[in-house]
Amino acid sequence: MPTTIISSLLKRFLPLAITVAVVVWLYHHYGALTYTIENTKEFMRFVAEHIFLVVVSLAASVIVGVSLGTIMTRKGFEKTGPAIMALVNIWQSVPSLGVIALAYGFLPLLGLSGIGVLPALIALFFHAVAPIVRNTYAGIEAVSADVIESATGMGMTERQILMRIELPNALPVIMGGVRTSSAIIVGTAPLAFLIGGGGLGFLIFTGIALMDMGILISGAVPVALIAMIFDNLFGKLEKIVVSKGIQAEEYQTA
Amino acid sequence: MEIAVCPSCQKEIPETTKFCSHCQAPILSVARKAISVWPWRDKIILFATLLVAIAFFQPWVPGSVLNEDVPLSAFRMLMSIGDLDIDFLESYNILRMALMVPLLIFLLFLLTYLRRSFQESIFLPLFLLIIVLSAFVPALVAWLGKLWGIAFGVILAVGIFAYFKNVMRTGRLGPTSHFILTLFLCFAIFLYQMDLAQSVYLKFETLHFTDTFGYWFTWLVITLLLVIIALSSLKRVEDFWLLVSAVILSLVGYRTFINPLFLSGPFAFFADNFSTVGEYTMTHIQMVAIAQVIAISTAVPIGIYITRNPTAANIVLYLTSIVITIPSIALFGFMMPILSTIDRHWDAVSGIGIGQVPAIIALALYSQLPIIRNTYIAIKNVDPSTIEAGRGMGMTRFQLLIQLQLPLAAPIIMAGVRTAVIMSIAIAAIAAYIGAGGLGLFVSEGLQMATNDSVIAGAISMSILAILADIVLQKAEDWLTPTGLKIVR
Amino acid sequence: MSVMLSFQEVTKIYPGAEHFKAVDSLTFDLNEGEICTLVGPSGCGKTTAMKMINRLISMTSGKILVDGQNADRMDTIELRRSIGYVIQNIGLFPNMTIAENIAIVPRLKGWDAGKISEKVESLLEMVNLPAEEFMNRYPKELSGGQQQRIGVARGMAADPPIMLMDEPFGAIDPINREHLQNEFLRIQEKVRKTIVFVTHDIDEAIKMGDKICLLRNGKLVQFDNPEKLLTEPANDFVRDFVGGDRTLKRLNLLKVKNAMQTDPPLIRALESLQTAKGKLSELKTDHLIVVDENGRLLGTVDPAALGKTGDKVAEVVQATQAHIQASASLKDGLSEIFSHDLGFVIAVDDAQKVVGTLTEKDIKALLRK
Repeated sequence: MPTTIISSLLKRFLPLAITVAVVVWLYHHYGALTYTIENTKEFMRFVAEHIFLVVVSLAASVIVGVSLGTIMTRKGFEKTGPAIMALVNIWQSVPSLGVIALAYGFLPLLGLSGIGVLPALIALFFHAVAPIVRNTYAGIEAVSADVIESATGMGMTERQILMRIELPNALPVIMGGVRTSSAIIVGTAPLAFLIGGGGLGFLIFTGIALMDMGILISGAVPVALIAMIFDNLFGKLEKIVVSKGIQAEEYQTA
Repeated sequence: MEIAVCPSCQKEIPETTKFCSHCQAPILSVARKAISVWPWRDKIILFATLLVAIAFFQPWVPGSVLNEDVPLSAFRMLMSIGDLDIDFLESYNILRMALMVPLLIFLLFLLTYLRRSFQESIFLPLFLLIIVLSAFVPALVAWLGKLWGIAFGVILAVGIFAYFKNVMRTGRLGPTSHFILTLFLCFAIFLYQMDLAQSVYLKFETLHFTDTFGYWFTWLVITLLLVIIALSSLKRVEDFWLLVSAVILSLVGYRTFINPLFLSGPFAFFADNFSTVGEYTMTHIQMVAIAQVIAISTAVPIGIYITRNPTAANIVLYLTSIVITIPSIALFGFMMPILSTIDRHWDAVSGIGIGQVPAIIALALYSQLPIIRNTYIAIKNVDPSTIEAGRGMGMTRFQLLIQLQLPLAAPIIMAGVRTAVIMSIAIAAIAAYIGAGGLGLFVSEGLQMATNDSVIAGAISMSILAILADIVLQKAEDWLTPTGLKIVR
Repeated sequence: MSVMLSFQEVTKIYPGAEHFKAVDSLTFDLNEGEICTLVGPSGCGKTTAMKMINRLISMTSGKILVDGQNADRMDTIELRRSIGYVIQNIGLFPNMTIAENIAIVPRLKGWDAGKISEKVESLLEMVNLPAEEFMNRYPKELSGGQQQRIGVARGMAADPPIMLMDEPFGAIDPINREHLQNEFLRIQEKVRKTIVFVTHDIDEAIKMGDKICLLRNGKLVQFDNPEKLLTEPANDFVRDFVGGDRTLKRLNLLKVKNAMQTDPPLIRALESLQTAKGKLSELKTDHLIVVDENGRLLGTVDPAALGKTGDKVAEVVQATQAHIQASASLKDGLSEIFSHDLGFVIAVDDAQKVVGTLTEKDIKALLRK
């Protein structure tokens, strides 16, 4: 008994305590707190920009990714589906800085600007859409043929099968993809600053450039916190939206 | 090698299916048919053909330049379509450059066509899509009103139309439709290349090795890369189209994106900074490799340990999953002040706060989760009856680990390492901003000085590195899988 | 009884296999409330034939009449919703609770919530799974046998007059299968659905079917009731398929009451030993069956027992285990005969009243008829 209590205490509070301690020490030691308070207005703007980048690009990639992944499983795409997935897999290994740089370099060729919020959003979107497409496709493909057959035999229309059977059953896998995507976007969003996308990346890169640890910490800590909050949020969301009959084990292979 | 075949329509089906995916017939017993895999010998022949063809057509090989006194007025006539006043030798060289790729594709086509008639190919629709989207549309927009553009568009349209008509008539993608498509495609690409070759030729006046190095080098690199990708995933003759689409893709990509850039662009940049590219790549690989050695030597033992201690497992997996959520640039941010404090306190070698030390530490930290988690799961998932059998035969715990659990878990651990490596390559690129060097430098310097070439060169080189690492490690994974596990089901 | 389901010259040719008719002009009628088992070797077209009823597979030519209506003219979705469908691998929807799984067709049909939950509860009761315990559980928490019961309940949820069952008990272990078969027959007694039941197991077909439709290479070989199929196989194929032990299989089908002698040598327990001795020599048998005032079985007496001192038969009666329900199968009857050395078993009814005796000879006589 005591061991379980200790372990749950350790699991719940130790990381939190360590995090708080490290953050407090960093803020205190390098004067990040002073910097943040002195520049509250700017700081809030950076946070807002950052969250805007994350939310908009994530929403776009969820909408596009789920639809594309679903379409690839429909009739008539039996051959195109696997081919697109092969490309998606290759695309997924492109580094995040590479994606940002590609947006900067290639968007001008299409007559768009390579600098600003739009290219940043486009880059984040393209970087994050791959896991969602892949997981949606894989999730729907993995729904057992027996289940589909009995649904058809019971007189469900194709649309009903998709909405009530295929998507709900693929949801744990899709949510896994969304969670990966959110991690990718949150991790890449600071780099958006490099192509003029704004956000908390400004503080981090400025801090590095000036070797001013106060500025650096006042950017890095909120970025890490936002990442943890998003990860937690999606973990909770997964528990809520996924039917209890198909919730996955806690740890699975990548 | 054998594949499962639907007994009623004779097409290939997955072995476990209950209904044929082609004719919907219920599958009661699976027929089996031997398929001809494309043997490595043939792949090598193809590859060699490709190299020889490139060598023959490229302009700097001695003896491949034509003498002036050969009367070939047909070339001249063809050249005059382009409204250009150039002499015969030039026109020959242009034509030769333009002919190179279509001939190559045709050659490859014949080679496979002679071996065996084509069946359906998965990549054909995709391939067409790529052609139409990435070549046809921008090309028409760019060349609107130009003779080449119109000719290209018309021929492509006729080809695609003829192709689909044939498909619709016969109801399947037969050899004839492939043949028609190939012919039209080759001709279209020829016209397409003509334009490219002219622009190259006019730019450089005389075709010497050094002048056109950027052009040939980059073309060669991209094509070879794609061919390697294609060959490595090529299992059957039918997937010939994958190879062709790879070549086409490289060309289309070249014409649409790279050619406009190479004269002043990133590939000229590559050619100009050949040694720097190599140096940065080496730094990049070095960082990732050191971090991986550290990560594997810590994470695998930890992963093995926590399979025996559930409390530790919970804590370790939780902590590593927290670490991995922290964005890399933020982690660098934390590490810089901490490391430089250590630096000051111990009066150590100045500046471990920036540079490769924090980068490698961060990479090793990030790599923990995928490797620990996969090790943990892989060892947990080893069939308990296997372990019991081993124990029953008198194996010690260490022997069990070395002889049973680890070999069975190896492919999954390797998958974890692959994830870790891909991630590390991406993060090492960002580490350029804290002075660690590597391919990220091209991007950071390029963005700072607003030089597009450098930025794109950096993006492309790091992507190629990541993709290659992915392919190589996937092969390693296959290789590590015990033969007994490869037969799925 | 009216004809519920009618196959008329139904033919199926799969595209790409023009030379082979998967189902070849299949014609038969099925009455309301009957179970028809489609049986035959692998690839005989039985599953195809069944799936053409709810048009999961389209037919090439011919007609299927469902309750007098041409199935081909009906709206596919409506048709499927009015036919229950149970498959071998059950195909429960893992994301839904048991109650939601059962309620799916009623909900598609737009029943109101109260009616649906009532129906779900009564169906769960019917398949012997307590509603309050199982309603809110998920399929993965149930055993294979329980899942299959839910599958059957789901198939019946919207009260379809017709049900299609594709080897519903195929994936279940033999003991549970037997149990589920009996349970299913019990349910069918009550609900009287018209059922098309696909199986490759001839024993199951004989046990479950009111009619058996034996197919081979898409052609109908014999359409008969089980008894006829066993006694009068149409050709050698049927004979082989039914098996060399088809006489033994008939034993499964026939009941003790069909074969037994209905005039057992009875003696009341309160009668004297003298009377018993007289009856024994009169009837020329070795044993007399002793019954009480109500005709219930008490035991037997033989000459040796009658030689003992005593007054009433009740004092010398020997208890016996050699009795069997008259409604049991002949197979069980035969087994009882062999396991006791009386040479016969006593047939009793539900109230333990003796109604007859069964000997090997009686069974032989019946089988030879």
